Amino acid sequence: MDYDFASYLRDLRTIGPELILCGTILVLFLVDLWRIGRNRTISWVLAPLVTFAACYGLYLVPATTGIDVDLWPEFLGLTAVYAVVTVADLRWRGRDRWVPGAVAVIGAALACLRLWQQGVEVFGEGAAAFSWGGLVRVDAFGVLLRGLACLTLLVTSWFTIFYAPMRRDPGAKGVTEFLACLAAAAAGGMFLVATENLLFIYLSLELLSLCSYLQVGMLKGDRRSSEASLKYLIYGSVASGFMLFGFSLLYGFSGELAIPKIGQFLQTMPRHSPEGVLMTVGVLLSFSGFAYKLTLVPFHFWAPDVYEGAPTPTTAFLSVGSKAVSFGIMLRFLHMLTGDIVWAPGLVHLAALAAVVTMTYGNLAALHQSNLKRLFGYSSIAHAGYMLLGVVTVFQFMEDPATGLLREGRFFGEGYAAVLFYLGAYLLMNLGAFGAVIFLANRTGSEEIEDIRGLGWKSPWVGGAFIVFLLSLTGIPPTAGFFAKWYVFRAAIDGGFLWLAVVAGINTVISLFYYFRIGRMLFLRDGSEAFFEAPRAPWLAAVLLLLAFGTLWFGVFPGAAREVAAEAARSLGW
Amino acid sequence: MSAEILAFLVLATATVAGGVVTLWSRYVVHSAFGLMLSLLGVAGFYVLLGSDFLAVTQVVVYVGGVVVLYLFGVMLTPPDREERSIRRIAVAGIFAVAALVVLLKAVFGMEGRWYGVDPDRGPASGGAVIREVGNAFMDKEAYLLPFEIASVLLLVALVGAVFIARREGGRGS
Repeated sequence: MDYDFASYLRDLRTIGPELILCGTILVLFLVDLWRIGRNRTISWVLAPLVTFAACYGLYLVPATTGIDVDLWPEFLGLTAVYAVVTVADLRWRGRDRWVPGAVAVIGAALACLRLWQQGVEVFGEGAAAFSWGGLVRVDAFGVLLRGLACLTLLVTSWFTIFYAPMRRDPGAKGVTEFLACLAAAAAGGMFLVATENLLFIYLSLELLSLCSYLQVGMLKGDRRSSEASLKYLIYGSVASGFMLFGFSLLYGFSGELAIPKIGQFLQTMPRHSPEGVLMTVGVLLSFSGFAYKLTLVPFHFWAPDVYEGAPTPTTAFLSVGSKAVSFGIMLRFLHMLTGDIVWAPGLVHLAALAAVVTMTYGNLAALHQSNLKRLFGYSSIAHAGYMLLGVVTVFQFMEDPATGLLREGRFFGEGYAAVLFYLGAYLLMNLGAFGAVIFLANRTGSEEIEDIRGLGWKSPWVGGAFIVFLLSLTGIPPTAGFFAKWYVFRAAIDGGFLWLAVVAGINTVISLFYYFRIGRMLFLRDGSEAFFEAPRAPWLAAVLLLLAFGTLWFGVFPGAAREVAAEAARSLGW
Repeated sequence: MSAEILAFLVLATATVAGGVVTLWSRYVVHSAFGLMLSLLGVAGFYVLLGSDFLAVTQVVVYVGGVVVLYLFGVMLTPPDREERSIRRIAVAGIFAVAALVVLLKAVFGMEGRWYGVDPDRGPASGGAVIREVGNAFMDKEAYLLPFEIASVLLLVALVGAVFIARREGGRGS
């Protein structure tokens, strides 16, 4: 066998961001080791040595092999980590709980930087590149969704630094483990959308899921957290088992692991044959696995409890990052349903039904919630329903009315682009909302809606930002949420699903009530507002303002982002 | 009914029955043995599917490793008072010595062979399959990446599980 070092480096480059996240996990543990035993001389010797050895190794690779790879971001990142840890130790000894969070933020930022570089290369190129023997597919679609997952990690790591239950004394010990799980979950999610191989899909989905179960239960001493973790684990294992069974049927009949090849098999398969039936079962079971991750009704039962019981940064990650990559893999999966497949119209109606039930259920259930996180849990279910609208339209465009066969339609990318735009907007507004929940809960010590009464006046900037997020989640201009809904609804109408768009419109009105209730409570002035000592968190507030600014920016200038989404949709290879 | 279907039904019954015993038994030891039965049934499926390597791995890792580890764990936890009777210990001792004798005889009877298969000259298939699996795991164009990612998964799962299972205030203080 020919071991070509250059080809290894090339392949490693394609998964560079994920590798950085894996490296971040190791650095987190190393830093933790150092911080535990920093009174011992050995840690003072060991930590700089390890850091410099790693830096030197990075420098050595291009120097000795003569292969030109720029590793300056990694180099810079390691130096930054070293500086953070040393300075924190010298300057803030004993009060440096934020160090693991800072390390994770640096790692996530580096991964984002690498993804940005990859995006610049990939966008405009059109063709997808493969590496690792076809396991990893690098295209604009994948890079965009990996970027969303990575950005979620960046923001949620930042939130973790300020999340009170993780700063308090006994809980503070778990921050490193928590961040490691968060980073690994993000890496799993990023691998998930970077591949179209069933085996690798399953592996990365498990990496994502296992780390999610663990994170949810990491508020030790909180019964809701443990209960949520157990429920999530049990539901998740069953869903994963069903999905794996579906995969095994697909693999068993087609003999292929790559999604496009399974798609080819589906198209050459004789109709109404026993294989056809079993392949349908396989596809449906696989989709039920994704639907579980996406909290589509009736696979949503875990969501409210988990969202309420989990640490808030985890809730934010699950509702945004995990959802984005799960939608990503579902869209990739739909890729194989193109062409002449007899049962696809049935799937259309199933998906349309799921969309209606999901959004209606989510909104109606959210109406009478008293806990902020639980409310956003239900609202997140509703938003999954809206996004599914864009997916439904894709099916429809493939049906040829003359022959009843499926064909490629004019609007192919439309629904997909709408979903991708929605996911991006949802990242800004939902992360912002959860950040605001963390900020307010740090003041009140509770996550009940009643307890944020009048707090908007006390911290007008965060209160204002929260209002922007709520407007955007409702879908009121000039916010990104408005255009997200606009594109999805328009795709549905263009696709002949006018009734779906109408139902979604009614749902938007329903959602106005509960989002408005939060806003009203925030700026209520009836003299009864509790007086809370205000812990200052200017750095958390700064991120919230940044997210609010982004929400407004894409609400006024959606064009460029929309173009990016459209190009990513095209790169799926229709 | 062909022999294959019969074997499948027997194995499936054993697997499911083992699982049911694991869940419903009130005694941890019985649960462990139920689990062993279930895992052995799965190993049988692998044999039935012609995947000998997987079957052997299943037996070595799960039946031989994991379940025995459970049993050791149960053994080392403090027992009930009533279990400490002389009669019980004597019976267990006789079984233990008998098992030891059988094992020792088997070990010394091997004379350098491993289950009668000489690794250099044995049946080509066994060695070839293992070699193929190993190569696929280490080949960049095959499954090197999933193999490495699995190690990340195991690392994080291990650390997280230890954290969850650890008693409050265990570390550092």
